[in-house]
Amino acid sequence: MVRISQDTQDFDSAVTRSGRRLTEAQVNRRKVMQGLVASGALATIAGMSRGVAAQATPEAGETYGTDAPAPYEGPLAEEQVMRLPTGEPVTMDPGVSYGDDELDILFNIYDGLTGIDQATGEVVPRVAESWEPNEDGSVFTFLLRQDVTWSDGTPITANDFAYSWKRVLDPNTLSEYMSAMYYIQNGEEIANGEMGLDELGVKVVDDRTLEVTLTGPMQFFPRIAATWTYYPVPKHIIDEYGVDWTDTGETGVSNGPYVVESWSHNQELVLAPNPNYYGEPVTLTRAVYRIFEDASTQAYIAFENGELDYAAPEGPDLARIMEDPEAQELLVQFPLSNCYFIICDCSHDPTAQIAFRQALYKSINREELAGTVLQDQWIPAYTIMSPDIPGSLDDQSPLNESVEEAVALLEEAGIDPASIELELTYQNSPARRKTVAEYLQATWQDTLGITVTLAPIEDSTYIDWRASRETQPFGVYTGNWGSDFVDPSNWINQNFTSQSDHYRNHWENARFDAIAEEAVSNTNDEERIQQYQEAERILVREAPIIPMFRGKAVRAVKPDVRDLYFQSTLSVVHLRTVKIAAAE
Amino acid sequence: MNRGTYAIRRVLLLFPTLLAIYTLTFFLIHSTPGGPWSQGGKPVPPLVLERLNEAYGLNDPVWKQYTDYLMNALQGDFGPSLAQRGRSVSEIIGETFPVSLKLGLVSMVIALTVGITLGTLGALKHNSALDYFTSFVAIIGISTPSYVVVSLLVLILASELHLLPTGGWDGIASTKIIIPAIALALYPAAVLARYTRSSLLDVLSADYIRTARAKGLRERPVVMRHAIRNALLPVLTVSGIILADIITGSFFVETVYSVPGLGRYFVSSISERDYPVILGTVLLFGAVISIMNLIVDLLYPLLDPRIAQR
Repeated sequence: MVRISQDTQDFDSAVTRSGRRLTEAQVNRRKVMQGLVASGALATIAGMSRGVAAQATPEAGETYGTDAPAPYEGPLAEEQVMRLPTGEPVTMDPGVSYGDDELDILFNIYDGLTGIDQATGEVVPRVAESWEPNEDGSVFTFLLRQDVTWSDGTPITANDFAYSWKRVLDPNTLSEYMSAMYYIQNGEEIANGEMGLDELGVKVVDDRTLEVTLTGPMQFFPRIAATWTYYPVPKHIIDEYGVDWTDTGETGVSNGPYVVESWSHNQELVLAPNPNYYGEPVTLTRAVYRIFEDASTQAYIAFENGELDYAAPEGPDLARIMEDPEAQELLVQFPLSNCYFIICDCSHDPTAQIAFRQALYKSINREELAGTVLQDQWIPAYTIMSPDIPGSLDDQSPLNESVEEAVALLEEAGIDPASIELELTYQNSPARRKTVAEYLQATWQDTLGITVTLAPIEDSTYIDWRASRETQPFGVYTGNWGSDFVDPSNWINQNFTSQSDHYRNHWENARFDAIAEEAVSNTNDEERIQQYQEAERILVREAPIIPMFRGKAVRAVKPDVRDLYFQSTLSVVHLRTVKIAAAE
Repeated sequence: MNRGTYAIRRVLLLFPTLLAIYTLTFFLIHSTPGGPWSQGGKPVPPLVLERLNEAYGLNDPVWKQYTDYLMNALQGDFGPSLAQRGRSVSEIIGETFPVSLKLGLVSMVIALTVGITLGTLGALKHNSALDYFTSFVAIIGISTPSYVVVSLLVLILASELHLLPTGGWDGIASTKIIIPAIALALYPAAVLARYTRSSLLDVLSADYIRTARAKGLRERPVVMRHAIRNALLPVLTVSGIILADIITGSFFVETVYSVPGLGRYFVSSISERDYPVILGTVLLFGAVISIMNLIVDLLYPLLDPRIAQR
C-alpha cells in the first residue's frame, strides 16, 4: 500500500523507507480474468490451504507497506469533489463485467460480502459481518449484517447474493465472466450446461446466513468473494428494467458507498454518496469521471491543465514528467505484481530444446531493455513470480545473463544458428510491444546469429490466435500475467502446469506438476513456500517462459487529495476514504 | 430530359447506391479475422462465446444475417451494439450524430467565412504579398493532418497558455467547441480559399466584368454585385461535399479532443468488430454523402442558368 502524501514517493526511497520491498501488485485487469478462467478450468486443482488457522474473523492477510500514515485529520476543503479520468464503461453490470474501464466505478458503488481494505490489503467484512470456514476450508458460512439495504432502502438479504451469483451463470445474462464462479461447487458444470442453476453450491440458510460450498479447500475464498462478480445486484431493478437496468437515466441503485447519479455516454459519469449506506459515510460529495477514448494517453494533459485531480500517465507523458521535478512531486510510484515474458513452443524445434530456450534467456540484456529501450518505465525481471508472492525467487534466478554462455549452449547442443529461423509473434498495440519485439529480434540476431521474423497480430485477434496454439505450432510470442490475489497458486497452478498450460506452450515437467499439486493444498506454510520456490526454479531453468520485465505503476495525484490508498491486486481508485484537504 | 425527371432518377439511384455500400461493407467486415467478443486480452470461454453468438444472431449463416439486418434496417432498426451491451445502434447514433453535426456546422461556418474571405482577398490583390501569404496559409491548411492541428492547438492554447480546456463537449455555446471547430475548419477553409481565389480570378477576367467597368461602374459594386456572386457558384458546390464530410465527424479531432461524436464511433466500431454499429454508421454516412451530392447536383442548375440550358 502506498499512502499518498505530500512527500515525493519515488520507488527507491519508498523501498528503503518502508524497510521492506513495497509489494503492491497491480493486475492488468485482463489478467485477472485470465487467471480466473484458468483456475475455473482447473476444477481438479484442490484449491489451496494457506496454513492459517481457520478463523471466524477477517483473515490475517499480508500487510503491505509498513508505514501506513494515519488518516488525514486536518481541515477539509469546502468543495469535496474529485475529478478522475476513465474510459467508457463496457457494461455497468458487475455480473457481466469482464473488468474493463468500469472497474474503477463498480468498486465504489457496490459492496460484496467482503472487501479488501485499501490501506492494509487485508480482507475486511462488508455486507457480511463475519464468516466461518469449516474444518478444511471448503465450506464458508457468511453471516450478513442486519442493516444493509440498497440505496433505495430495499433490504439486502442472503437471497440477494444467491440470486446474483446464480445470475452470473445464467445463460440469459450473457456474462463474460462466468468463470469467476467456478470456485463454487458445480459452478463450472452449470456454465457448461451440465447442471441446473439451482445446483450451485450456495445455500440460503436464512435471510442472514449464506452457506457457500467450494470445489475444494480454499482458505483464500474471502478474497475472491471481494471481487466484483460476487457483488449483489438489485433484483427489483433488474426485473423492472431488464437489460437496460444500469442505464435507466435515473440515479442508479446499488449498495456501496456511492451511487451513480448520472451517466452521459462518452462524456461523463458522476457518483454521489449513497444516502442509505450502512457503513462509514464518505467525505466526497461528488466524484466526476470524465470519459476519454483512451485515458492512458489523454488524461494526463487534462490533469496538468487542472481539469482532473488524478491521472495515470504512461509512455511519452511519463518520459516528459521524468524531466520535470515539479511534476514528479505529484507522482506516486510502486512496483506491480506482474511479469511480462516470452512464451516458447516446447513441442516444436528449435524451441523444443531446453538449450535453445536457455540461450534465448541468457542473451537478453534486461537492464538495457527495461531501462534504456523502454526508458526506465519497467523493472527488469529475472524470474517469473513477482517478489511479493510467497515462493518467488525474486532476482535469484538459476539462469544468468551471458551472451558467451548463450552462444556456447547452442554450440554444445549442436544447433547451427545460421539454420534457425524463429518466428516472434506479438500484439501490435500498444507501441511498446512492437519496440520489445524489435529489440528481441535485434538481440537474438546479433548475439546468437539466428534469424528472427516478426509476426505482428491485431489485439482483437490475439485471444483467438493464442487459443489456436493448442494445435497450431508457433515460435515464440510475448505475453504477460498479473496477480489476481497474492498467492503462488495464482501463477504456478493456474498457468504453468501441463494441465493448465494457459499459454499453450506444451511444456511438461513431471516434477513441476507433482510439486505444484502438492503445494496447493499443503497446510504447512514454510514447506509450501519451499515447494513453490522449487517449482519456480524448475520453471525458470527450463525456460518455457522467459521473463523480461515487470510493470511499475505511476500515478499523478493532486496534493490536496488525501487518504487515497492504492491496493495491490487491482489497480482501481477507491474513493471510499478520500478527502480533499483545504488549501494551505 | 427535364429537371424533374432528372431529379427523380437521381433520388431513385440512392437506393441501389446504399445497397451496394451495405453489401460491400457487410462482406468486408465478415471476412475480417477477429470477432466482437475477443477484444484486447479477454479470453471469453467457448461456452459464453457460443451463447453470445447465439443471442446476437452471429451463428446464423452469413446470407441470413445479411438479409435479416437489411430487413430490420429498412424498418429503422439497426440492431444492438455488440461492444456496448444494452445500447442499440439507433440510440448511439441518436446521441452522437447531433454532436458531430453541431460541431460540423460550426466548423463549416468558420471555414466558409475564413476561406471565402481569404480567397477573395487573394484574388483581388492578385500577385501581391497578401495573395502569396494567403496562398501559403492555404497550402499549410491543406497539408497539415487534422490530428496534428488539434494536438498543436491543445498544446498551445490549453496546455501552455491555459486559455481553453483540453477536451470535452458542452454544446455549441461553450469554450470547449473552439479548438475542435478550428481544427476541423482548417482544411475546408484552405480548400475554399483556393477555390474562391481561382474562381474569382476567372470571373474577374470575364467579358461581362469588363463591360461593367467600361460602363463606368465603380470597382466596389463590380466586385461585390457581379463578380463575387458568380464566382461563388463552384465554391458552393464544393461546400456541399465538404459539408457532408465534416458533419459525419472526424475521427482524429473527436478522439484527441474527447468529443462524443459519431466520427469516433465509426472507427472504434471497426476495431471492436461491432458489426451493427459499423453497418449502421456506414449506411448513415453513405446516405448523408449521397444526399448532399444530390442536393448540390440539383441546386447547381438552379443557380447557374447556363448549366440548365444544356
